[in-house]
Amino acid sequence: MSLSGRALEALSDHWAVAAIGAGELERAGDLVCQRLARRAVGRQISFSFEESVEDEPFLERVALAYELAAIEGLDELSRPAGLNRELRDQAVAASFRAFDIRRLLPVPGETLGRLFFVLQLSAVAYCGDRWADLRRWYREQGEALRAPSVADAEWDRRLLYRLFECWVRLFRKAGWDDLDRIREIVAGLRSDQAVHEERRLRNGSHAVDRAIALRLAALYNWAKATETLAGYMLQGEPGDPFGTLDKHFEAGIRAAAVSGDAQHEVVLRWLHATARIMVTNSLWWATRTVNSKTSDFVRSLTHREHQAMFELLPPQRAALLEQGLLDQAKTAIVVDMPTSGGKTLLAQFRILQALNQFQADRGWVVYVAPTRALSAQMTRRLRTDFEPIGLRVEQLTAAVEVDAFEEELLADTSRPFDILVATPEKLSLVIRNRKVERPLALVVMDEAHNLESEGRGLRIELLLATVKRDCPRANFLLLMPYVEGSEAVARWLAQDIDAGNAISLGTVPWKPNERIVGLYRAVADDSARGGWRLDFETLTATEMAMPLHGTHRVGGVKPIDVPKSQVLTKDIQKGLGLQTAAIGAVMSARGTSIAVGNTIRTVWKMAGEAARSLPKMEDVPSDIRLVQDFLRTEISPDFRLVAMLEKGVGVHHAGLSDDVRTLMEWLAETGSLRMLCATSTIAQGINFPVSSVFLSSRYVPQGTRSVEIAPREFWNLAGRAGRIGHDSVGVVGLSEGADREALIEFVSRSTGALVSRLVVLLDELAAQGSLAQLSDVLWKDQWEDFRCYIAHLWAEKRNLDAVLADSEQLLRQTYGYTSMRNDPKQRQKADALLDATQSYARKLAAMPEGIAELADSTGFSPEGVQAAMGGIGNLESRLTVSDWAPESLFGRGGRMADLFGVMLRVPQLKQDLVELGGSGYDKSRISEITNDWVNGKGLEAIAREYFRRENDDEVGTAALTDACRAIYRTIVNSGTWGVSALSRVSGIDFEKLSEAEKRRINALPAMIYHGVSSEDAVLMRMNAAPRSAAEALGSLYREVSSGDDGRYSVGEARRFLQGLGAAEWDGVRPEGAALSGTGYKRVWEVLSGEAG
Amino acid sequence: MTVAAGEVVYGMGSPPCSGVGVRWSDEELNVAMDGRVAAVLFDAEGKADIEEILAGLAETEFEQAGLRRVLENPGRVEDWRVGEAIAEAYLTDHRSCIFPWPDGRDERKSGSSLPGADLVGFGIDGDGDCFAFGEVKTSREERYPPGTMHGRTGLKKQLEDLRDRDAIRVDLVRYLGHRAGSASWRARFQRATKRYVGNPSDVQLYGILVRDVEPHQDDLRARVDDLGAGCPEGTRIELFALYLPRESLEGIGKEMVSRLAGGER
Repeated sequence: MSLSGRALEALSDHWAVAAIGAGELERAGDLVCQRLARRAVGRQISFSFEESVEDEPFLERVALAYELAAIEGLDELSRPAGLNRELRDQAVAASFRAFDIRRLLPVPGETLGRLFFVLQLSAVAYCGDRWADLRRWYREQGEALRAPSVADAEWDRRLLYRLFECWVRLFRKAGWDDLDRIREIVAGLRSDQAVHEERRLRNGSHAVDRAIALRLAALYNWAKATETLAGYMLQGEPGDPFGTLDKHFEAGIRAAAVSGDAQHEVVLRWLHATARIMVTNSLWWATRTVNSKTSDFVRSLTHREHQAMFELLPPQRAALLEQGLLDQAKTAIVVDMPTSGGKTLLAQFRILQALNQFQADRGWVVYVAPTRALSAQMTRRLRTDFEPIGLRVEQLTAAVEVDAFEEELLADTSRPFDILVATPEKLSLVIRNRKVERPLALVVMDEAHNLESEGRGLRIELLLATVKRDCPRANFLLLMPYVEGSEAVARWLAQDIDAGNAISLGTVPWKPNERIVGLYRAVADDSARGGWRLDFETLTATEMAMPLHGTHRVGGVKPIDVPKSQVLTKDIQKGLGLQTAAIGAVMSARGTSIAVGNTIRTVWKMAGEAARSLPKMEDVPSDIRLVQDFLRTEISPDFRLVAMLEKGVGVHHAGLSDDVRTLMEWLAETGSLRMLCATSTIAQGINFPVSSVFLSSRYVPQGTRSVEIAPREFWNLAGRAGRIGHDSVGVVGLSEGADREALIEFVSRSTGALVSRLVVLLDELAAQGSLAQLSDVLWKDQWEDFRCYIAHLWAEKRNLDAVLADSEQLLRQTYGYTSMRNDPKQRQKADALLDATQSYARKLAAMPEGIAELADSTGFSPEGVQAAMGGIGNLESRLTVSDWAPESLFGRGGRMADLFGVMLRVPQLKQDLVELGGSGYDKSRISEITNDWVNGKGLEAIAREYFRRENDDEVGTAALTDACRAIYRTIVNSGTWGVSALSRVSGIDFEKLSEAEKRRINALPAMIYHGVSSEDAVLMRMNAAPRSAAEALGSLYREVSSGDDGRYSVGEARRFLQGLGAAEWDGVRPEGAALSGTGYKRVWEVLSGEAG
Repeated sequence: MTVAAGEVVYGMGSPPCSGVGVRWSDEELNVAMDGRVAAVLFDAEGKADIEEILAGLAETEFEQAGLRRVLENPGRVEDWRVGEAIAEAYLTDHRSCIFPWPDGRDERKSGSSLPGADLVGFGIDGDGDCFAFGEVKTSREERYPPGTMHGRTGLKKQLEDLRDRDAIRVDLVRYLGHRAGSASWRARFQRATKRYVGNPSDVQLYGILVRDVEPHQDDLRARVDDLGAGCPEGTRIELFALYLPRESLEGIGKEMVSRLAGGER
């Protein structure tokens, strides 16, 4: 049973703990935090805490009090749960607290003292649900974990030393081989017995002989129990290991007790409880009753070379074993879990269960990730984990259109995919247009709190509503951090009232790691001429942070080499980006730090200054070398980022390609980067931990405005600080600027419940007194998704009466309408929404036939479809099928400019395109860039030709940034979507086209999306091949497939790429490319997720 | 039935550290051997455990023959163990101490070089219950003090360790904690612990020399002075020299075994 906050509170009334006194307990808590902070970041932050020689004995006493409370309930942990729940809770809570203190105390130097200290501390950690913290402690230890040499050791010592080694392995679980060695060690002891035992039993004193004999009996039982436990962790066998474990631990304890062997008795008592807990924490135990696919998955997790997994984190265990994550009767599950709590693994178990449940119907699962970057990360992870057990994982591109090859992939029934990874927009198209005929078994939505985001919240809510309506058998799993009251969301999605399950683990006492939160500011430092430094004020206003008081110094004078005038003038804080870069650079000494700046320009400057000030890396990691070569090849040998990477500094923002951003994330994830300077877009881009996170501002851009980041978003990002298994403390900082009080208030704000965007929009109208006029404002942009939602119903029914009759039912599928309908005070708003829906349905009825259907197939709103049709109709010359051939569309004199002209009239595309055209580029410039892009021109050349600036640096960084933004933000998104949609509304009669013609037209948008001009190259790019080699790879693919049409398949193309060796990659390199054939192969493995 | 208080032959020192020499007559020893000391030494429960332990060994897949040979043979009682039993009985009867485990299981402590104490339990003073730890040495040596007083495992060093090394005491407290669950002395344990977590030096320490030579103050004098100096606030130390009749220690273990067997005195 997991640790509860209540049990921790109840501890203060325990007789031993109470004897310490409330004030003293608080002081001990403060001391623990201070010591932990100092130990974790003391080299970077000079903390201002006072220390006394009395502290250590004092902490010893407090630890003893907690330990005694734990010992009191230890027997409860050594048998099946449920007999005395209160005592059990007490033991867990007290162990949790005892571990907090003990891990900070010095390990005894004397051998036996050290061994028993390590074993007992480890056991206390397990009993207190702190195994993840223990592994971290293990990483920090060197000599303390070393098993003493057995040479010349007496037989009982030899056994003890060997068993110590076994348990160190069991606790650290470094991998399959690490654990498998235990079997050999115990077998070795059995064969050594004949050599050593007899001599140890001849001491010249009968009493001593007997004492040793009993000790040996204890040790033999301990060895057997150890072997059993290791076997179970590895193989999950025997199915119920408790009988054997109990028998041998009890016999060992009895033998130690008879000889009054206190140390062995005590350690065996602790390890007995620990062994039981280790079994119940194990993946094997948690999934023992599920299905064979799950067992295969667990087996592959325990066997994998990198980060093998054997046990569950406490919130994972709670979700699986206590809160019914795998309860098939629950059709909608919402998991609220702290960031880094291990949500993905839970999702994986649920996915396997859903696939199993829908096996007969060949059901599929979709994993919805908010961004391209996260989709790619998740695809990599799912492929690595699931392909070995025979599941097919496919990813749809983030383009808002389903291209020809995706059509093929979705419809493939010969070897159908099992799991699809997609963005919400893409899934919406797939569902509305029924692209997959098989039943949808489960929707997993990651970062589901985006449901309330201003930009996409409504779209996501309506997507879920559409799934509910169109795929009535689908199950839901929503994953989100820091959401209070998620039951309401679960109830909404569930098909009936009892089928919803909210698993709330956001407020459990367990934390992935401790966190220091504070404000940093520049202060003058007169110890050097023009000197300045950084102060860090630790904040205690939130429970999310360690309660540390005071202001502390970070790093030395001039932590980065910029003049004081750039960060401070006359007590006024400035250069907040530079301050952020400075603290990021200082803190990077303990692991990757992320420094978030406001604009792309600032981010480049931050990275530049940080790189200039950081010392050389002793060894530049080979992963960095690889990415440098990639950048030289794909962008330019002079690209600024190449030199920054030399110092371990990366950059991440919208002015970089997806591939580059993915590689930056990969470098941060693997710990190769010292520092990653990023805009706030990183918040949605990372689901991996780093050491520290610093923000220059709490505001983020939202379109053209700047809005305060939502507390939930902030904590989600802050939650990335602190790596499980590495840092015991993550550091999060905000630049103080001129805003100290407001920032403190911001940090202390609660995250609250999720609110539907529908409710927010209606609240705003009600506040303006215009609720009755909803129909009149429904044309506005913020209602676009809602209009599409109604149009989808229309497209299905094509009959006004039927739509009117169903409109209430349609609205009931939404979270917003349901919650308003269920709240008497909100009824009026619900009524207004229903009225507006019906009135919009009447408008749809008045539109020309087919508009709603086109809206469904293009993703445009009905108004957008009308605008596009109008635009196409007004073109001077009509578009013909031949205009849609790639060579004419993207060739000289093609109709691309005309298409962009039409797109500029469509509300959903207009804003982005206008932004690009804003600085004097018209539709023909946009089309020229697009054509160059598709025809393979390099980014640097495009930058030089279209984006050259007066005040740029010598390598043209700003021009390159603008070029990347134009391409990756505007052309790739709006251009792709626009061309796809226009091809559908252009009046081409697809029915009359040949398969090849259809496919070619359907591949056009993908060519824009991927920046290549042939279908074969598109297939290569869809499988993550670098653009610089895509066309050559495509040709090779065409050649080896002998031009056979069967090659037009994403899966076939992937198999082709998988089969390529370094030599073949070498053959497709552009001339003079810095990246070698081996390098290309490796980059492809990383980008495609083949790397594992 | 208690053991005799004996005749006080000398006393020395004052709190926190004092010493006292006590002499037992033949009769006093005799009564003790038949009663309290035998009860402390011989413990039927221990035997049953050993059979169970041997029975369970097969499943460990280690060879059991060697251990069986040693454990199945009840063997003899060594003389020093009778000394420890006498000391325990004395402190229990005349200092209101309790030591929760009978000292009699053959194996207790012997052969273990792990730090600890011969006697682990509770004492009582004006403030109520506290922890009491004792070390016992049995010596027939005609030297004052005897050699067992000195050296790495000598009484002096052991008492100094108990006095000065928190880690040793805290291990003993934890050990008691593991056994306190449903024990009759649980309330005493809790009261003693409360004092202990307030001040880990708030304990009673006993050092007992069991001798069968003529009493002499030199057995304790220097130790009382040394241990008193630098004694932390809260620690009380009492040294006893318990003088049994001359030459009564030799063969006393064997004697105890034969009395148990119902034989003659």
